[in-house]
Amino acid sequence: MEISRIRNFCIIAHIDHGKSTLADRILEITGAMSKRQMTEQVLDKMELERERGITIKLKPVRIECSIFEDKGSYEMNLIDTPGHVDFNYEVSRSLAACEGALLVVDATQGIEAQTLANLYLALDHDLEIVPVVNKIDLPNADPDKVAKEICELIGMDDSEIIRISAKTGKNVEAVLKAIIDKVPAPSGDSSAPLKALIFDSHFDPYKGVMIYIRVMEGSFSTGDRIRIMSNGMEFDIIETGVFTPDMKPTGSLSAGEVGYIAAQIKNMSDARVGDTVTLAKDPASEPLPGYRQVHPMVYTGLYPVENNDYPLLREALEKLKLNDSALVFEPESSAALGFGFRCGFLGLLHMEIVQARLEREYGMEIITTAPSVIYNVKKTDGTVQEVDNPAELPDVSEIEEIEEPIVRLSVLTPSEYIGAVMTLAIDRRGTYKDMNFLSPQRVSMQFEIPLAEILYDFFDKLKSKTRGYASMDYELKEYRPARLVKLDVLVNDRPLDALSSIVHSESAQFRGRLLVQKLRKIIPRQMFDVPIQAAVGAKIIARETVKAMRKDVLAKCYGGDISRKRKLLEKQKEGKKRLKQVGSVEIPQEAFMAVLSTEEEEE
Amino acid sequence: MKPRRLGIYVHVPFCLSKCSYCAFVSYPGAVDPHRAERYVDAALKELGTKASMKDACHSGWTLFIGGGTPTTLGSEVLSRLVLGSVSIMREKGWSEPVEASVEANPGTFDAYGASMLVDSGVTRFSIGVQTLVDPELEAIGRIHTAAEAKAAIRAARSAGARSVSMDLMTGLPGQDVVSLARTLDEVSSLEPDHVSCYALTLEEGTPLMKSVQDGKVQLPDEELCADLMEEAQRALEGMGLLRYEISNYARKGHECLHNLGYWSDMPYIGIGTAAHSYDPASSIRSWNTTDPDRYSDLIARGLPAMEGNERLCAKTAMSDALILSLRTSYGASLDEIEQAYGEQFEQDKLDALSWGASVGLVESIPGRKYKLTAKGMMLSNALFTKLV
Repeated sequence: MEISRIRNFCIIAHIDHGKSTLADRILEITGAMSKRQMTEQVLDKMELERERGITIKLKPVRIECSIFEDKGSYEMNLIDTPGHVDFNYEVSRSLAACEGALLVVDATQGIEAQTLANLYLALDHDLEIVPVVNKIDLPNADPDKVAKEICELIGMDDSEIIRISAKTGKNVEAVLKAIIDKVPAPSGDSSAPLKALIFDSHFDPYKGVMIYIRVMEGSFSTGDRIRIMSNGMEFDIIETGVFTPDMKPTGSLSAGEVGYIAAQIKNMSDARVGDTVTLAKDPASEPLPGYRQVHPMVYTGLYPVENNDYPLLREALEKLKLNDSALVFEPESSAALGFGFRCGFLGLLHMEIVQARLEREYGMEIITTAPSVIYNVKKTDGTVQEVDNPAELPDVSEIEEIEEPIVRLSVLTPSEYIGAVMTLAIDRRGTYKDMNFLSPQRVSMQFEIPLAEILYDFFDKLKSKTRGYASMDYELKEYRPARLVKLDVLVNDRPLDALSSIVHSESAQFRGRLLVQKLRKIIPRQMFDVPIQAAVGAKIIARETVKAMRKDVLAKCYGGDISRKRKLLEKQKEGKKRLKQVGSVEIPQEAFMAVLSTEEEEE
Repeated sequence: MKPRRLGIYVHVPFCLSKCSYCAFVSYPGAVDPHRAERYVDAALKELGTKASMKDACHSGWTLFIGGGTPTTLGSEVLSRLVLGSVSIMREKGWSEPVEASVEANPGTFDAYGASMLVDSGVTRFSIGVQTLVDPELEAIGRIHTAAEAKAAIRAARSAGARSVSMDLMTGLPGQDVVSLARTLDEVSSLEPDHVSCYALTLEEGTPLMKSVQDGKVQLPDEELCADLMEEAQRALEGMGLLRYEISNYARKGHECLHNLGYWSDMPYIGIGTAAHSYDPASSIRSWNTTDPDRYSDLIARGLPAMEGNERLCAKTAMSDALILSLRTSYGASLDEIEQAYGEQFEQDKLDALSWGASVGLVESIPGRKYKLTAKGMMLSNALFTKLV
């Protein structure tokens, strides 16, 4: 295909605004997939993605579009993007591989914080924006109002906003037409030395690392020897092709095109996302600008419920890492939980997904400790220690100062909830910074707030205080000193390191009391009284007792009852599997998460 | 293998009305005499097919007629069931049963019926008393009063039954330590030979479960339930009754031999609807259909009424045998169970028993024997969940 007939674009949308449905409809209309071949949401491949209705990992697809008789045939490469804040870095990769972006906004919801953030990213990359208002078929849709919001935001004319229903297919052709007319063709020179951007990869057990590339300049064919520009490593291409969305070998790719390379690359680290691929025999002189390295924001400990499963957990994490370069882990041990791993995640959703995949795909039973951010601890001896596990906080006498990460939080909300959002953010040690009205009804609020305070249930609280209307986005701003202390928990008079947390000194008393109250409810009765205490240093600040269990017995057991009673015992045993034996006390997973609760439960 | 005693259980699936806590197979309403006769005919026919000739593998046998409420059949029909069973077994070379128990509901039991049954060969009555406090009886939908329950005990006694047992319950709606003490005082004056004392269990699908879920009925909390169980134990032992199983107390020599069979891995044949059979020699467990009319039909047509069966692997059979024998005060002998099945217990079971001993749930007795402690009788599931 001539380069002038190629269009590379991505879709920016908030979760549930219909991005995947629109992608599916485009595949269907252009005949890339017949209706019969379509399972719902073709591009969301992981079972988990289907289940949650969200897209985590992007899947590129090449579409031949020849539905407009007067225009002839075009090659379109769609790079799907994830819509969750945890996966922001994947968005910027997609953007760098495209010339245009569809901005999809739900006609019943309006623009959301995440979408706004991604839109600004796209504008930074000089992408041509094609604005689309989706779900106009819904009875509560207000396309004109949403269109107006978009116009004010990016200075467009209302006539440029395409109103569609991806679900029914209404007006989707107009989107394709706009892609052809508005999104510029790629500008690379296919006779120049090869420069191809790696924007994703996955591991194939037979072919090694499959790298996903956008060819910026030059061209190559199967059999060519490629060089990875950052490390100089060279590999022979054994297969190259395009995504239809399944991988289809084509033998060669040239400037402007999107596709994949298999070259028997053994390690993901040999061909990192963001790197530039060139040819060994005629290398480019300069690599393409890369991406920023992804840094985990949240750390947790993952431990097998059964200590003997430690090697299995390591194996499972190693396999997951092959397809999830953002996941980092290293061995750690806990006095209470035995051997496990300290894992770094992009955010809580990323953490939940890894946890769910370990359980489902690898059959692991794991205990996750409460997520923690990274603290910079300045010690009295002048050194600085990074602490991502509260249990490892040095002794108070060695600490000069603790710094915690502060994020810039932006919240989009209907204006009637300004007060509620303000209260919530300030209660979490947030500082109000700024406020802009997108329209008389919608406002964007900016705060600076410690990351640790928004880690766990902040988003849920925000949603419930704004009847589900607010959305949020955040990015790291800086590290700032804060008066933080370590809150320890003793269960049955033994300190349980995995329940330690770092809290602000002013809230330690409150958090400690809350935590032991929660733990008393969560920890099941044992055969003896179990005291639960919260302590700061040597000082006990709160105490509760889980009273001993006094009866746990099946009353009747005669001939007809035996099979049924056996099943009851087996069920009870199954329930206990989820408990981690810590010393002589059995502790359920919820206990480790209770550390993060910030509010008294409504009884 | 030591000769084993054979248990014969006959289930009578009829009740005048169903108690609110009951999840057993029973069909409430007055029993049509024709239907009762037909059911007893079928039961006797099934027994004739299922019972084998007396052989050296077996010692004596026990008969237990339970339900439902066997006494809803009426004394004549019920007597015919007892007489008929004994005579079938006699034809197969078995002598008189070493024990013949009948369960009775005070609402359908009187002196006349008691005597007739004793004359037919019944040696033991088990009477569903539950509590001797009228509002508590009403709260669980029992059809009789405390006075009727006491009369039933006296009737059984004066009919000359060798053993009279009563069922009691703890953890009933409205029950507290004082009301339980009142019941137990009256129990003491009735001098039963045997008491089965059950903590109320909320079963799925029962009206009581629904009432509790809807907040119409409140059950005693966990602490009170434990207090009630402990109070019952203290009082019953004070009457000279020994706790020989988690829920059973007896004067010496009045333990229920039939039920002991279940806990000591003896074979049993279940007759009637929903009845279970088990033969440790083959490790096959089977059970009958739950519908009484379908049951009668199948048997009348010469077909088996079995609805399902399973063959236990040695591991499961041994773990069942271990758990069941641990329920009794005699405890479990690992050697005996291993000999019976020709296999060794797995290490995890032995580890669980050692753990049980270390936390005071079981007592280890020389000769690889274990028995539950008093604490273990209250918390047996903590151990049993490690033994299944």
